[in-house]
Amino acid sequence: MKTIALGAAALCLAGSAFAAAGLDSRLASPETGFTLGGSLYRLIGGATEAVGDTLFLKAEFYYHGGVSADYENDDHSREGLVDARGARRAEPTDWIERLNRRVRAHAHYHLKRDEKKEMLPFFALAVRLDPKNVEAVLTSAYWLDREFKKPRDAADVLEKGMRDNPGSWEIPLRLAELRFREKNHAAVERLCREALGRAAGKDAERHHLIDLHFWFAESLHALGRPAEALSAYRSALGFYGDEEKSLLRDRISARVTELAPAAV
Amino acid sequence: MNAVFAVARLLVLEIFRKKDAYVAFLLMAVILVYAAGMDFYDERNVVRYLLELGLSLVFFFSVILTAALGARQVPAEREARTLPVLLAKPIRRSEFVAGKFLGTFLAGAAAFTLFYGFFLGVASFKGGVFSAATAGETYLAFLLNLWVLAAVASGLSYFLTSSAGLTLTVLVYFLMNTYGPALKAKAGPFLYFTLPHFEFFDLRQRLVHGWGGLPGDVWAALAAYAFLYALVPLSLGAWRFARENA
Repeated sequence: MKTIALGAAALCLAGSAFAAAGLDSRLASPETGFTLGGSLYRLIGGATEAVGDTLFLKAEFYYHGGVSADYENDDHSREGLVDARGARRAEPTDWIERLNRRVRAHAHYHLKRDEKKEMLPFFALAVRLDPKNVEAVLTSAYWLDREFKKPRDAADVLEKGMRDNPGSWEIPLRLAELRFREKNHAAVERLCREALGRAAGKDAERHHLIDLHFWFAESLHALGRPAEALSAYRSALGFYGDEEKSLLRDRISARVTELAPAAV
Repeated sequence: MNAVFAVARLLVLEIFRKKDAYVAFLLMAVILVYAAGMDFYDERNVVRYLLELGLSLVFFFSVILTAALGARQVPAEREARTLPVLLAKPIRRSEFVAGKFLGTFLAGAAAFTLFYGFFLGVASFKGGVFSAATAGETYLAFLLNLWVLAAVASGLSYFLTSSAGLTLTVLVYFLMNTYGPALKAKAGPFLYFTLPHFEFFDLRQRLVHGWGGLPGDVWAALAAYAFLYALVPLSLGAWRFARENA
């Protein structure tokens, strides 16, 4: 009985973790005034981050049909036999390995359209349990926005991610991109400023900085502030090499040509 | 043979009389029902997380109950001084060992059947689409798992105290279920070939991800492995028990 009680206590803890993690994301909404993540953190402390990270990996595991993708040794998009832990497929050397292969291995495949939603619980939990995992925030938002056509939910994830990760420039970048598509220019201006401020002094990739300056400039232009927009367009152009050609560069150059006389 | 079943029957009665199974069932039910009621961004019929969680709970509780029951049998008889009374009856020691093992297995299987039935009910209610055949195979494979587990727990109970037996059984179970396939590289061939490969019987991924069932030859190999492996701890337990003065 003592053993069962101990096991039960352990499972209660795990169950509370699972439950309090806010699988029902609406429970943790600002309207309720109750932050489940905070309660959970007090309950099991830093272990939540480890669980969150594991769940994030689990989402990828699900995406590959229940097997681990081996990105290093194989083209992961190729269909092929991998075991449930992603071990590579050298020929089995003994009967145990052979039997395990027959029981636990399966062809690698990607989830089909309607099956992809099976990853949602793991994204929701991963972000809830480890809000500091920027990669989890960005990936969850990407899937919500692009695959499940839920830009509002994606924006919620990114907004919260921005608050939880004040040092991340990638999150406001993605949120700016989302708002730019929605033509919410005031928000884009604010987010681009935020992202550029956070990216200062960091090793941000050039194409991201170009995007940020471009969206910033476009929003300022739409908001009727041509002089500031021109300055932002010129900043974006400054990232290109002299001989470099791209459609975006041509578009920015056209904007500069269009705005330069007006600004003068 | 009647003596074997008489001993086994006592164990089946014990698991339901001691209420451990009810506590485990209640806890599992609360977690499962709560998890089933959760909503993810308003998407319907998201169930694989529930299948995975449910199967993990069902397997976990079944393993703990079976291992605890098997591991405490002989030490409890010794402690209560009922062993001499039992052995004074017309029962051979080998029948006693077989009865204790069979009872552990049947009691564990009964609890597992209850848990598994409830789990399938909740998963179906949530709108889960899964193969009934694979669900049946998952059930059968786990029964083989319990067969080996009951043999290990029961066999160890002739050598160890109940807490030591339980700890060792559960430790080996989780070790092998997690690292079994990679144990040769991590811990060498001795442990790899001697410890029971519980991971053979874990068909969770096949059910959750819809991989389908196992071919007949694999089933034959799994059944043969389970039955032959179970003989090892039971024979050792019987050998130890035969040398012991009641």
